[in-house]
Amino acid sequence: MNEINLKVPRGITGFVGPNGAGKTTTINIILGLLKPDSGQALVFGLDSWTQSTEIRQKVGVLHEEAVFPKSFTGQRFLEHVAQFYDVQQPKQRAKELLSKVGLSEAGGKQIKGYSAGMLRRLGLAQALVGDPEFVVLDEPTANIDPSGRLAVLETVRQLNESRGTSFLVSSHILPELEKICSWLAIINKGRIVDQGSVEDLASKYSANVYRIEVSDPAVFLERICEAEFVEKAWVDGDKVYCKVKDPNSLYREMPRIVADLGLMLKSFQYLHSTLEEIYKEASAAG
Amino acid sequence: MTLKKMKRLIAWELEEYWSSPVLEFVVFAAVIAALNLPVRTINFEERYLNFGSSMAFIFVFLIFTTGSLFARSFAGSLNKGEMKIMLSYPLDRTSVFVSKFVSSFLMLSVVFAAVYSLNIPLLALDLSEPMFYVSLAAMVMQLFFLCTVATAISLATRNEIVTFLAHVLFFFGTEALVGGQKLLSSNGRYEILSNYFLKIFHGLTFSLDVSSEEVALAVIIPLLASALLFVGSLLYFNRVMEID
Repeated sequence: MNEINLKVPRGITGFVGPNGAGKTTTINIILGLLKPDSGQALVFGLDSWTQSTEIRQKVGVLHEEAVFPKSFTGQRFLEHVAQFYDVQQPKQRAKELLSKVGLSEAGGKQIKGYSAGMLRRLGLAQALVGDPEFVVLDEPTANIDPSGRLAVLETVRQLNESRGTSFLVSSHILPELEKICSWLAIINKGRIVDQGSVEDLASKYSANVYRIEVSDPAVFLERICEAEFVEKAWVDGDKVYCKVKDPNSLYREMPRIVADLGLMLKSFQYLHSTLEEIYKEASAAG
Repeated sequence: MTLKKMKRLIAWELEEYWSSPVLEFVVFAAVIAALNLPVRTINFEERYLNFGSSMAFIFVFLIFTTGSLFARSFAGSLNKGEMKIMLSYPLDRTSVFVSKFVSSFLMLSVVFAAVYSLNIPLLALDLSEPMFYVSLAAMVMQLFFLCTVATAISLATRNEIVTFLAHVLFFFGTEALVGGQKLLSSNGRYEILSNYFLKIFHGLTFSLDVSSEEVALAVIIPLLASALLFVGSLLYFNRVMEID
């Protein structure tokens, strides 16, 4: 890893990158589990190696491969963790969190009897025990069924909205991240390729594709293909899709073309880049 | 390091241990130890000779027990990722290290106490005899040495099975390699201490003629080695060791 400068603003930050890019290593450095080979890592202005206990007081974490004591019940485990964070009423807090992650009924069961999905939810609960300012989730929805995934994402969103908890969510499932993230950091080969608000990155790495619905798509396609600002155009169904080099020219020229051809413009829409497209473009550019 | 958090950590560790078949293990250990003990003797000299051979057996038994308990507590939790989870909470590394060591030592002490106390009825030992306590102190010292060796190996290998094997090999290997140098052998040091104090307290002399300097060394060597290993392991765990 080299000169990592990961900015995590308040809100939900997606942390994406291919396998081996350095996501988990970055998380481990943040938590003071790994020592940077040189230089220092600062979290909340504190050195992650020498002041890691202070950092971890403010941070909750769910590791990718979290191993919890199998002989404990979910309730008892959370009570122990709550005590580590000096929570005043550990029993109450454990109950509250089990309910939040949908494990109320399984709270009295030993962890060894939990399914993979239940373990992820318990992991989310233990990350939230200390009511942290900042929560790191490494693949939080791995091994969870679709409804469970939605529930986890919803919990994250609710916590961010109601308590202002900030999250750093590392995941490979980009469509899921897209639903909750406001900020994105892309890592590849041990360095941050790009980071910024999802909107800014979307416009930066935009594919500049527009969907245009006119009364005669075939005639419009023939004419628009001749325009210099158009890179590529095609028809799909009754709509024309245009990938443009210069969006300003499209805005200026298109009404004139439509009028010249005597067509009727029914709709005109800019197609936003998905997180997957942003990730691909940014990785290629980086 | 806060004492409060360390107590909580020890409670966590002991609770985990308690879920394992500790009671069954203690009973098993006691039965094996009892099978090794000779029939009750009346003669004082014979009684302490038998007691000595019983301690040698208990020591061998403890080598295996310490290896497995500490391998599980340190190497196992490092290898399986439990340590990573624990160190992701606001707990300083010293507390985690000390609590793991203390809880494993406590568990081991329970097993040791069960086996050791069997000697009282089976060998008709008199609790007012000073030798009983000298022997107990010598064994606890050996026990601490075993624990520090197992901890150091655990941190170095991070593998439960390798730790157990290396620990067992270390002690049996040492016994085999040192030959006649009793001060370097665990059994030899015990023999030095018991011979010296049997002579002091009861006027008994066995084969070994022991000087007070040798007795001092038999105490200092394991204590110094244990202290060095303990502090070295703690510093390594606290300042150098990376958890991934």
